Amino acid sequence: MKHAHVSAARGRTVEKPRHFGDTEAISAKETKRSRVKTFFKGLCAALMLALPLSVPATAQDAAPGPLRITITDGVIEPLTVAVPPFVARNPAAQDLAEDISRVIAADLSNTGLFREIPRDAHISRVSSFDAPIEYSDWKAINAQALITGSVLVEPDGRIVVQFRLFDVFSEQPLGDGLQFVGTADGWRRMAHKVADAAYSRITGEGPYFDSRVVFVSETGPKDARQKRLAVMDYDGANVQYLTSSDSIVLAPRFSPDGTKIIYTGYESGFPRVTVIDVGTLEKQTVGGVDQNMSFAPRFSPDSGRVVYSAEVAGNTDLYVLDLASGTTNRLTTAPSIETAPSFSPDGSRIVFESDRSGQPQLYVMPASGGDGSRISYGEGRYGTPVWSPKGDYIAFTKQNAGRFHIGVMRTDGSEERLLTGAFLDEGPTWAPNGRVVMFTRETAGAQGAPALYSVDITGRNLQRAATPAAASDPSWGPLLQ
Amino acid sequence: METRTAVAISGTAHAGLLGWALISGLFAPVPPEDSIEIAAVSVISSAEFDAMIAAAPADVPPAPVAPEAPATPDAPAPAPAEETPPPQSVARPETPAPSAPDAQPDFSQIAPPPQADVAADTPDAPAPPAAPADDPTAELSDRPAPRPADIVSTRPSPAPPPMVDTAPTVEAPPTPEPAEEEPAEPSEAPAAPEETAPIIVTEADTPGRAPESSTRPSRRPNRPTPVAAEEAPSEAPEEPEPPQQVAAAQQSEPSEPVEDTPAAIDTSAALAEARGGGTPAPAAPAGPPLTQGERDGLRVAVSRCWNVFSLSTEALRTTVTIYMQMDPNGVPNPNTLRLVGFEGGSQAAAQQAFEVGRRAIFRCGRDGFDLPPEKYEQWKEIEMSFDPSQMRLR
Repeated sequence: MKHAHVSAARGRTVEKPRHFGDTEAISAKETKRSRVKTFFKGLCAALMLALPLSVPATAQDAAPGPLRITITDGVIEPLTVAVPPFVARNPAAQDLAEDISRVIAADLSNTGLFREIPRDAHISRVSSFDAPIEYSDWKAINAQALITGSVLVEPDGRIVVQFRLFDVFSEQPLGDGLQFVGTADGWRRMAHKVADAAYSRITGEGPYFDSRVVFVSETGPKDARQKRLAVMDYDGANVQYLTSSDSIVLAPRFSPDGTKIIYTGYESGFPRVTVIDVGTLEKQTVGGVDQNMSFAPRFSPDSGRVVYSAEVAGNTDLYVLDLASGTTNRLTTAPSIETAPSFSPDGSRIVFESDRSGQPQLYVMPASGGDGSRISYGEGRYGTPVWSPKGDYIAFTKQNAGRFHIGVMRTDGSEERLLTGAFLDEGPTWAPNGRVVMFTRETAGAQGAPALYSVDITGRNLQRAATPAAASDPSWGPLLQ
Repeated sequence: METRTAVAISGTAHAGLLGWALISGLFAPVPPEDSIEIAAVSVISSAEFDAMIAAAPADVPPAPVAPEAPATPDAPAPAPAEETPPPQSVARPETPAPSAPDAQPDFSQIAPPPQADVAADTPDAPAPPAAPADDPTAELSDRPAPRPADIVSTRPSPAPPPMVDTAPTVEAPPTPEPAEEEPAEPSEAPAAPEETAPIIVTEADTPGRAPESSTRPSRRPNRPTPVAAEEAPSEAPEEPEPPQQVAAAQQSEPSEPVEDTPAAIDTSAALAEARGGGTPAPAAPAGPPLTQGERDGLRVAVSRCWNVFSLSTEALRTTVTIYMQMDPNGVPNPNTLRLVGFEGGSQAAAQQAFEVGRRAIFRCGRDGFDLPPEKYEQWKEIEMSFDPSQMRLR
């Protein structure tokens, strides 16, 4: 009883301060509110008083600096370019001048970044290489860039090509004029050089028109396909065959210096890594131990080493071969399949494909070997990674949901972007400037055949490369010297 | 002793109980049940009943006492001739229930409906029952509300509703148009198509994230240009003292962060003014600042020609700022264009981005930008920044 009384008393003593506290809080709130009101009243009054002072000052100081405008939205459309026929400086150069200007226009148009204005729309005729440019005539047909040039065939047969590039709307030349000298049979290369210069000058990207591509030319039905090594200009011209169709060849790769090609050949019945000299067509089998299969070779950036994968005792790992000394170093020791290695352009790292996680994914490891770290985490299976010559992206093949894709991602796996999607796209290779990717696309069905396609890394301008027959496994060589 | 006490307690308790019972009325006599009211009923014939219904006011519930003949022979009585209570037939005319008219002679006097008019006005309407059709229906077929015209009755009670119901059904057919709009917008999946053309547009192009040209609204129309260099240009829309008001509004605009610098200058000038210093005395009348619409007009005009497609990947990460002086006709002076700053890329990338920006300025400004001449002092110098960060993602 006593205890109950005490608790009741305690309850009262607890309750009382609570009620008192509430009223205190309320009164405190009201006080605070009134203070805030007073503050805002004061603030408003101050502002009202300050307004007449500041407004005339603003108006008086209306003599401003430059008007500042920020442009964030633009348009994405091909840049219009006019390529009038080059001026033939002597009669012998007449045909050559026409051909060279046509190749230049085709090179630029094939990039998708340019649109040539047809010649019949031209108002001005360039009759002299040194004549001043009638900018108004080119503005009238909305030509943003203008390429003029001249061709001279010298008595010794050499040809001299000069050209200038103009920004029409700015009414000034873009850079200095250039001159190339070469032999008559190399006129296409000279045209590519001119186009490269114009392309680089306008876009800021590196050149790539004057380059070659090695690929596997395929003839015959699907079940009895004959495969030969072939080399062509980037645009499909000047195809040359390096091997006969007696044995199968796979996965040719240009050396970074452009003098050698390495591929997997079946001359001995087993897949062997073979190096062929482009100039002499001399072959040399390298790497791999007898009775072991080696494949997916690729040169190091200095062209002195070859990294490849080999199956030894049922386990496929990566190896690197020094071409000068013939020594081989094993780079990986995992029980899974490691294949498709590719050096970074500085030679410090290697990206490769491994199924150690259960399905093929991409990994990057130091060039000296190691476990590597995984960089691909999207859905599907990743394979055939290739490091960009600029070092900023890695191109790859991706298989997901029954479709194949060519994609690019940053070297840490971020910013993955799929550029294509089809029944079968595979085997990307980079243009020398790291802006364009070429790959193999094979169509479905018994009549399906592979072909070479190229695409800009923005995913735009997908184009089929002109090859005389079916073609696969492209490898883009370096810019010719 | 104890017994006496117990008896006393018991007696007291019983007495109390009885007293409570008496007070609370437990033994009170049961009140008599409510007396049943008995009404006198007289049997009438159906004819008399119909006459009574016709004579009764429409909305008044029945007072079946006076079955005398109706004083208004033209009254619109539906008269279904049933023993059902009269309110039923009055209140629900849409279900006329033409059952058993019994061939009463009164019908010939009461219902002379002009049936021909009804059929002409509402040809598609279901034919109303013959008996309850009344003369108001002829007018009701034209308009939904009955017109109290030459009808004797004070209120047009029963007949209109069926025609009100049928009239909407006649007008209903013109309404199927909304239904036709529904089967639209087949949403196609943006899958990569198999290509057959030599130049193929991939899925990166198809969704149209990168429009071919800007879809911004066009620039503002030209205002009638007042005489330049006036103190208070009359174009100011709202207030009689435009320079101050517009300047203040301009100062409070949060949309253009790059343009904060003039505001900072304004603040310093205001401070100088507040300190009582002399008037800054601008060199030339500047006119009011450009409105947001005028700025947007200039921005859109340049955007239409800013083609970033040919920018290199590095130049796409470079923001360049180009300074230019403008001629009074809105044409940029080509000799004054220069690169005043860049960020995010190398010098080469900045040079390339500068050339693309310069090309945009000259292409779309060759005929002059649409800028208000009376505000020339505001835009005779322009610093234009080209920020391709948003375009990089397209």
